[in-house]
Amino acid sequence: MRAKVSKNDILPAVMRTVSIADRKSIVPILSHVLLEFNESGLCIKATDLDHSIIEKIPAEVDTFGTAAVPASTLNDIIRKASGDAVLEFSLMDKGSKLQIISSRSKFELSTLDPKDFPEVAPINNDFNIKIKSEDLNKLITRTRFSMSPEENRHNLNGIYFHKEDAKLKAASTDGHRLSTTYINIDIKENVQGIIISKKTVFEIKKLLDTYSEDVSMSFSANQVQFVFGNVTFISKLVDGTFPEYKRVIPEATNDFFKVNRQAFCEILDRIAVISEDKIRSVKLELSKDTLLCYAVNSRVGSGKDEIDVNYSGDGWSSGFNANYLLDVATTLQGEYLKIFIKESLSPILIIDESEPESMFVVMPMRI
Amino acid sequence: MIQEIFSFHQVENLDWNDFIESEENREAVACLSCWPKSWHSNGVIIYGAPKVGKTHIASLWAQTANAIYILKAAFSENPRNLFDANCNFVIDNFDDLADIDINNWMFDFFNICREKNRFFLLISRISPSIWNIKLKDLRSRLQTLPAINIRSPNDDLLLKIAKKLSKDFGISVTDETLSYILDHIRRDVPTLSATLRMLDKIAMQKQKSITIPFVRNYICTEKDEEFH
Repeated sequence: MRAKVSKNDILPAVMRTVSIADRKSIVPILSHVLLEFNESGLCIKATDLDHSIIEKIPAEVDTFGTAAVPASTLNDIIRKASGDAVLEFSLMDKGSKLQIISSRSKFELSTLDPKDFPEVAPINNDFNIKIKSEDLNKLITRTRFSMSPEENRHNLNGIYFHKEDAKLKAASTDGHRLSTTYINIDIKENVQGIIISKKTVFEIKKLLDTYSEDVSMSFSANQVQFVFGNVTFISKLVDGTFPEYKRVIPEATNDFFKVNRQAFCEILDRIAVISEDKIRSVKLELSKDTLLCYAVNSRVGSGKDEIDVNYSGDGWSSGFNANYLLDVATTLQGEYLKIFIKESLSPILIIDESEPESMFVVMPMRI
Repeated sequence: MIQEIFSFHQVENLDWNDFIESEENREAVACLSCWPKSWHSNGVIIYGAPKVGKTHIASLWAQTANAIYILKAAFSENPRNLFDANCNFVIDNFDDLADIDINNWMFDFFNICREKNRFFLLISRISPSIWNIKLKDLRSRLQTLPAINIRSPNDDLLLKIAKKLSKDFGISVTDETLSYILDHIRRDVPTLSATLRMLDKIAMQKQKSITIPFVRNYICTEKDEEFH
């Protein structure tokens, strides 16, 4: 096998595959990437058995061949290659070594038998949805921060995608807060609800940051596939039932206050410095057109601040983890937030008036 | 500072894949899975302590037999109304209907089932031998029905149930931790279910995994006290 690939083409691809290849796996082949040089160029594959990536990039291929090489070493070699070098790949010693030449640098990487590399094949499914990358980005950014951090709570360990009427909805919850949003889609078929794992969410988000075309999304019974042009990402779905989340969303009643989003972020961030390190609890207190935010820490001291809001109710107070409120307020972009309140220990509903399709529910804290 | 959490209604998975077959329920499974071939009467009674799987097995039979659940409100209506649709019937918690007089209704229902060749399943927490049936004719008819007891689970089955409940709650708990829990609580399904529910709630509040050290903080038994 002999081929030439530009560093600028191969580096982003290898960087993406390296985060999929499982460096800590006890199965050596899973820490490797598969390089397939064929008539259409170079195809790079990596998998940890739950997540797989296939990426096609242009290459000048003289003779075809396949090699499985350590993902992170390959990444380091290519990353450190000088400027916009052209890298020459060739197999040596009956395929037991892959030689990489870049300018005057020469590396010989030990390979593993490519036949041992797990089968990584795209989902062949007639049913797929085309989504604008900005829409998919919105579904993810509005919900990813409230995925559960607990690995053992598998059904909350990702984002739940499901279709309702002509809407594709996304929701996530860690039991303390809930985020949900939707985009309009034009699909008549019924689509089963699926939970996409946290790792998939992070990988898809990384791809979305550099991709602006339509994304093709398809499902099988236990897998989901996203196609971003030449990059195909396949992931196992989370095997679990997402809770009936809609029943915990409070009604948007007349009891609410309207606050400038930026000012709300600032006051929370300012006062939360007083709180305990891990749980940044703050107390919010409403009186006519004023929101008071304060925190007391027996070890450090106390702090309070207030901002103007639009409120004409009888008053309200409640405690919250400031991070949960900040996560919502910083992910939204509108000027004002509408925060629907009830009793002190009832959940609050946060809506950005310029984006009513996104709803955020935060449970209070007993302080 | 205590973080409040959402109270999600955990849905119990009631399909065949989730049903745990064991010595304790084998007779009930054999009877219900061979419906209608091996049924010599129009009805069958399944009884057993709370949470031994009666509702689960009844729902499986209901799917197979296209049976509907008869709700309490129906006992004040003419039983013939139920037979408009082409279906069979399940009466859950039959022993819990003591507060309403269903003797005549049940007698009619029984006879219509025979007349129209429909089938029914009666579920009860107590043995039919201690049901308070006042109507002599109904009592004698019910005595003709096979009554199958689902016995309370042994240790192996309790562990399997603990795994199923954790799966239903959406939490992964190791067998070692589940065995530790079972070693430290009263060994019956309602206690196991309540304990797992309680641990699940605290674990979600604290965003912690359910491990033996975690469980140790919340379950303290006489056995522990003796040990210490």
